[in-house]
Amino acid sequence: MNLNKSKLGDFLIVVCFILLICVCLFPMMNVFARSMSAPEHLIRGEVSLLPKGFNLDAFQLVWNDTKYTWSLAWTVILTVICTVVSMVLTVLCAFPFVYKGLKGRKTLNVFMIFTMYFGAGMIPTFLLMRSLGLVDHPLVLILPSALSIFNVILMRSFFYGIPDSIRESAEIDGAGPFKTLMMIYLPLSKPVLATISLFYAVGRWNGYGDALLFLRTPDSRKWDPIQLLLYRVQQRMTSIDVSQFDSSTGDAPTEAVIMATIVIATVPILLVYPFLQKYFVAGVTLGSVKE
Amino acid sequence: MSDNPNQVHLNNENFPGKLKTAIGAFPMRVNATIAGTILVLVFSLLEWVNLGGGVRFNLFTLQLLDMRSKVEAAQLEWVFDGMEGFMNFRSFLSIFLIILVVSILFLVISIIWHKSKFLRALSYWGFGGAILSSTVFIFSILITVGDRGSDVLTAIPLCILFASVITMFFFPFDTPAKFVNYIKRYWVLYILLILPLAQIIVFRYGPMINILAAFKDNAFLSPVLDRSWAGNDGFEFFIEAFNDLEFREAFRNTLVLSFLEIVMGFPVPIILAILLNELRLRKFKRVTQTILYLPHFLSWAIVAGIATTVLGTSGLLNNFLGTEIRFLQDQTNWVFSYIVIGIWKGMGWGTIIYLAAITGINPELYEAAAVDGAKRFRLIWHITLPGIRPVIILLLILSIGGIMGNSFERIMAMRNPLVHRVSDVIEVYTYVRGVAGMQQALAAAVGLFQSVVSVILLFGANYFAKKTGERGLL
Repeated sequence: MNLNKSKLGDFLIVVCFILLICVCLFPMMNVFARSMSAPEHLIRGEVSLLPKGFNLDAFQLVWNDTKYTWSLAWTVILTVICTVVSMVLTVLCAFPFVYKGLKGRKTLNVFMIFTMYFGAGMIPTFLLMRSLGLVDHPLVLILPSALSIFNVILMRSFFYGIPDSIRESAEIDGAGPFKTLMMIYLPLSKPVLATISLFYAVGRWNGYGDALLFLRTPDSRKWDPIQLLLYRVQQRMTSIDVSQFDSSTGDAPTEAVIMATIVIATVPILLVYPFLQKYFVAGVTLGSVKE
Repeated sequence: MSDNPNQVHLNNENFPGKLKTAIGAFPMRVNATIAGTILVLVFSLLEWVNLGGGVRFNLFTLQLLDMRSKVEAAQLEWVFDGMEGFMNFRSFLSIFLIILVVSILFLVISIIWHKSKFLRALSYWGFGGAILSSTVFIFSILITVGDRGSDVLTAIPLCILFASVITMFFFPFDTPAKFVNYIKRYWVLYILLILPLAQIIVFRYGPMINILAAFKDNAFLSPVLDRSWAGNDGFEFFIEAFNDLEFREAFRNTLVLSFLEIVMGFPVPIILAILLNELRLRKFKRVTQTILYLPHFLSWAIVAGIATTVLGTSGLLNNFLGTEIRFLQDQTNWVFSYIVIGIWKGMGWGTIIYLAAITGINPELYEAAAVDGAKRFRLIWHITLPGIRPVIILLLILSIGGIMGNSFERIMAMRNPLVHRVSDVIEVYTYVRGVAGMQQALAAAVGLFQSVVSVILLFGANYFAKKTGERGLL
């Protein structure tokens, strides 16, 4: 490509990126180190990138606290359920658009896209959830966010890439739309299915705004996803939001416990992410392709 | 497919006499509409006869009774200002009857004189217009009076009427045969769409009716439609919001944070993508990308936790610098920390889309320029940047559309009591007042203001981009 290789330029760029890598990694390493350090080192602020006075007491504490373990288990269950439900809905929503002869296709498209640009807002949504009886109900974490229009468009643009001739030959063989979807489109779309499942899974694993909004009473604390628990624990440390204050979280946790919670909430993503990176990247790249 | 009412389709061969010709003279959708309207009339008539005027379930009198009682309670006067005659039972009924009679008149005209193109067109649009206006009329009364037509029996004729209007203007089939063929082939697709569409309707369009809460009084527990209208023609709470110092601060904070975010954060992924593209060590490049993308996958709660740890007065950064800067406790510092943390989380991820765009640039351009003696910076400036310009513009439009909104999760995780005067953006205001507090109407008004301004900004930016010759968003 570039025929004028300037060694100095290359060197500077590499140095620049090494610095950036440090900026990205050091904060995370710091948190990991702190979660495994002894309290006296923590208080003196001696822990930087590697643990001092290595111990796993904080993890032990978290592990023995049913509040954390249950929340973790619930978040795993929730993430699985949400991903499955979302994927079914997304495929169902994207597939009919493949048929160019579908009447109302354009109207449906506008109907969907409109919601990307104009949302009703927090209060109207809250009122709806209340009138549906979903406030303080675990389903509120699943149903409202079940379908992401952006992901539908992603899936759709991938489907568009599958040649119509394959579909038409299947139709000649007597396959109906549903059979075409199951036998041809889904097997051919494995990469995009993986990508979008990951988007949904990560979105659910990391999301806590809906839980914060819709799980109001102390009774519904048991449905708190791990991220909301983490949020609440931190808020207790800084005690910002008086309305969120409640005694159900027990004693104020120590710093090491918070660090351990952060680590636990991060690890699943750290585990899957490097192996699935290409799918994520493919998803974003696909999203940038305009219809 | 065409909206041309002058097309003649004679396909009902077995139908006798003049009526056959008349029906055949119209596209199927007109006939379907006529059938729908007749159905509604029969339905209403049956209700009228069976239940007697003034009893519930009656399409006409139900609305009227509710209207009268509510207006007498003096809660809705502004709706009917200067329209006293309108309240009258007879005038209400007569308006509706006139509309119906007119539409039937057009129907009759069209059947008798169906051979005249002009009359047929006139009757087509007249008939459609008449039922359209009557439907809008009924819906407007339902909405303004606050009766949701909660009875199924009331809803049925309304739905038929509405479907008739839609059919009239949008039904895309001219003959029943085409319609049947189409349905045979495509019905499965509509079945597949039921669940996702239900989700969209319930959870995305469903809340929109509650936007009315912005124009109604606070009544924390009652449904929005049952609430009485707010003062000042319903704009009471918008006025209150703009007179509220806290809201003005929230508005200011929103603008300041978003503006800084765009100015400081927007160029970062572009620069990084260009630098990444210049990186020639393949393995190093891949590792770098993996690590740079990583923060994107941490939730805001985690990022806030990391930030508190690293940026604390005795945190990693202060230890490294040997200082005790209050990154998160000082107002000005907090603003910049907020922006920088956002950049930290998003910079790597943001490069993907630009890298994809750079890959799409024709390599011959680089070679040709290099032959002409262009150095690295000139290549970037004259080839790479223009090559990714459409993507840059697209993302810029999107971020301008997002000026009015900050991520709720982000701001909730990052704010703290020491900096609330610069951190409490509109989302926080809405949340604290409307969800945690009891001022729903005020919060809804603020939220509506926010949504509307966002849409205007987005389309404004898009319009501007298109005016200046860019591809734009839509």
